[in-house]
Amino acid sequence: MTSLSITTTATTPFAFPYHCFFDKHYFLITKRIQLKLSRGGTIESNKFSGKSGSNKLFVASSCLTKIQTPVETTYKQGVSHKVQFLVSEFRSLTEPIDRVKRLLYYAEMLAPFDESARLPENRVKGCTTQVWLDAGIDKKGKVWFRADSDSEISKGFCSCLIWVMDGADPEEVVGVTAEELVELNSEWQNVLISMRDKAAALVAERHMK
Amino acid sequence: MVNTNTDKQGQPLTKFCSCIDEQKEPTMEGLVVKLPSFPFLSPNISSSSSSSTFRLGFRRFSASISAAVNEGFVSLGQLTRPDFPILHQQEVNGSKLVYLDNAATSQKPTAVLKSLQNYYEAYNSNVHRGIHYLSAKATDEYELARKKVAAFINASDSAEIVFTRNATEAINLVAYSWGLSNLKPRDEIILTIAEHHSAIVPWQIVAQKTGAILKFVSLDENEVPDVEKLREMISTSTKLVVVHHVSNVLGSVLPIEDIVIWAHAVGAKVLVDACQSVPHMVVDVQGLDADFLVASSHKMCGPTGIGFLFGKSNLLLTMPPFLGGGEMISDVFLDHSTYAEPPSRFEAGTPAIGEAIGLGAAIDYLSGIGMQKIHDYEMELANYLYEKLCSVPNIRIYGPKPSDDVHRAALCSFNIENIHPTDIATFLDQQHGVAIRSGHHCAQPLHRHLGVNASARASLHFYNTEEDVDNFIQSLKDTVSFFNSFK
Repeated sequence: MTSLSITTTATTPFAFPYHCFFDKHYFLITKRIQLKLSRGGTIESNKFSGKSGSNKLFVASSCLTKIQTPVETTYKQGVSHKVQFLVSEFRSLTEPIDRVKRLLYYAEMLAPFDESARLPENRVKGCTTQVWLDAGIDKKGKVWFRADSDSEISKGFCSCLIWVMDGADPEEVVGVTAEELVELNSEWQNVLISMRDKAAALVAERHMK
Repeated sequence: MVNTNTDKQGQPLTKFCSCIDEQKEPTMEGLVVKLPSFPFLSPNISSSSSSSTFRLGFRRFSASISAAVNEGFVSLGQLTRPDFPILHQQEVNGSKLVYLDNAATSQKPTAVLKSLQNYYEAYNSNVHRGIHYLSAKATDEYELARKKVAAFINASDSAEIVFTRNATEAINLVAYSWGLSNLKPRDEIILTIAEHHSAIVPWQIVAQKTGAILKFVSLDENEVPDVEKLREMISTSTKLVVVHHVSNVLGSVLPIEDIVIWAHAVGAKVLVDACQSVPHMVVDVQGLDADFLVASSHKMCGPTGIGFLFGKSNLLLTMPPFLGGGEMISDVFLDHSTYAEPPSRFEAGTPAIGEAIGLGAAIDYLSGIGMQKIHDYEMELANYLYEKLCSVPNIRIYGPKPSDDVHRAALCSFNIENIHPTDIATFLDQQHGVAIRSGHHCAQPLHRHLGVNASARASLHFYNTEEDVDNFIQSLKDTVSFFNSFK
C-alpha cells in the first residue's frame, strides 16, 4: 500500500481530480477528491491499495499543485500478506452485491491480455465463464501472470489474484493453500489452482535447465 | 400474432375474484386466495392407505374455484403459489425469491413433501421382499406410484414403466441394454444438435462400441431443428431416432407423431426425451406411438433421485439387463443367473422407494389441476415472457418467434450484447433475488452452433405469475444499466 502526500501553496480549500498510476498497466478510476488544506502545508491523502507488483506511484493532475510521492512509504508485501488483505477486504463487504461491485471495479484494472495467449492450454478448467491464464518467469526469477475472461466478474477476481501473485517467487505461489481463500468462491479457487499449477511447472522447468 | 396477457373475455389475467369467501391475505403480488384443505382420496388408493388418520394437505379445486380460474379472475400461478413453501418463505439477499429456473428443477408442493415424510414415518420398508405389514404397504404404494406414472402418460400397462434414478439413467439404460444388443456397424442413429448431453453422450459411447454412426440434424432459419432435413435423413440404415419433445434452450416443440411415423416406416425406433414436456403438457405415449420415452421426477414437482423410462412391452421383453444385482433376477447360481421380467429386470437393488411414492404424489397434484389447464396457462405466460423480453435493448432470444402456428415453451434462453450471461445471473441474484440459469444448459453443441459459449435462461412453471415476469424484466433492465454504466 502507498500513501500519497500532497504539498500545495493554495490558500483556500479546493477539490481536484487526479489519476494515480502504479505502473502503466494499472490505474485507478478518476476520482474527485476533496482535500481540506490549511494555508500551505502538507497533508496525507487516503491510502491507496496498490494492485501491482510495482512500487512506484505516478500521479497526474490538471491543477498546479505539486505532488510528491515519498518512495520510502511504499513497501512490498509477501504473497500471504496480500492473501490476508484480500480476504479481509472481501470479508468486510457483507452485502454480496458490494462484492460484485468491488470485483467490477478491480476488473477495470486488469492488464490487457494478448490475443495470441488465448490458447486452449491457457484455459482455466472448471470455470463456468471462459478464463485464460498465462504465466512465465522474468529475468529476476519472479513469476508473472496475465489473465483474461469474457465475464467482467471473473476479470475482477483474476485482477485480485494477479495482484496477490504477480511478481512473487514461484515457490511462494505454489505454497498458497485453497484454505486461505476458502471464503471466496470456487471460481477463485479454480484460477488459484491454475496459477499454482503453472508456477509449479515453471519451477520444474527451471530445475531441469 | 402473439397472445396478449388477457383471458378470453379480454379481462386482465390478474383480476381478482370477489366471490370467494375465503380468507384473503394481501401480498406483494396481490391477493392470495386461501383454499380449505381437503384430504385427498384417490379411487386407486386401497383402504389401508386412506387418509383417516392424517391429512395429506392436498388442495382440491372445488367447482367454484375451477370456474374462477376459467373465467380469469385468479391466475393459476396465484392460486397454486401457496402450495409451495419455498416460494413464499425465501428471502434471497434481502429480496423476495423470484424462482425462474424451473427447466433445471421444479419446486415441490406441500403434498409431495408430506408424502415423503409420511412414507418414512409410517411405513418405510424394503419393497418386494418382505411379508410383514410395513413391507406389504410399501410395496403397494411403490407399485401404485408406477401405475400413476403409467396413467399419467397413458401407457397401456404399468409394466412398461421402469423406475430409474432420472432421465439420464433411463437413456443410458436404453443405450446399454437395447443399443448394445441391436446396433451393428454402419447402423445410423439420428439426433438433433439441440439435444441435451444426456441424449448425446450415451449414444457416442455405444456408437464407439458397436460401430454405429451418429447423424445430427441442424437448425432451420427459425432456430428449430430442421424437421424436413430429419425426414430426409431417415433411411433404411436408421435404427434409432433420439429427439427431445421440448427443447430446454430453444423452447421449441417437435412434431413427435410425424417423426415416429417416418421412423417406423423404415423399421427404426424412436426415443423421446420428454423432460421438458411431461411436466408442462399432456403427453400420451400411445398417441405419440413412441418406442421409448424418458422423464425426470424432479422437473415435475416430484423429488430428485427418481425418474422413469417408458418402453413398449415388446421391446423391454427382448432387452438384456442394464445393471445386475438383487431384484432383477429370477434365480442365481454360481455360474449363471436367470433374469426377472420387465420392469423388474431393469430395477437392480433397492429402489428409491420414498421418492417413487413422492413422484406419485406429484402426479396426483398435477392431475388435480389438470395438465391441459397447466399447459394453457403456461402458453400465455410463455408469450408474455417472450414479449416482455423483446423490450430489453440489445437482447437476442434463441429459438422460434411465437405465433399462431408456433408455440414456445415457457422458457427463454438469451444473450445481451457485451454482458456475459453469468454476470447477468450473478447480479440478478445478488441485487434482486431473481434466480435464472447461465451456462450452456447441457447443450454445448447447440451453443457452439449458435456461436456463443453460454446463455442466460429464464424458465417458468405453472406456479409462476405475470408479476414474476414483470419483476424479472425490471431487474434485468436494471442489471443491463448497471453493467453498461461500468463501461
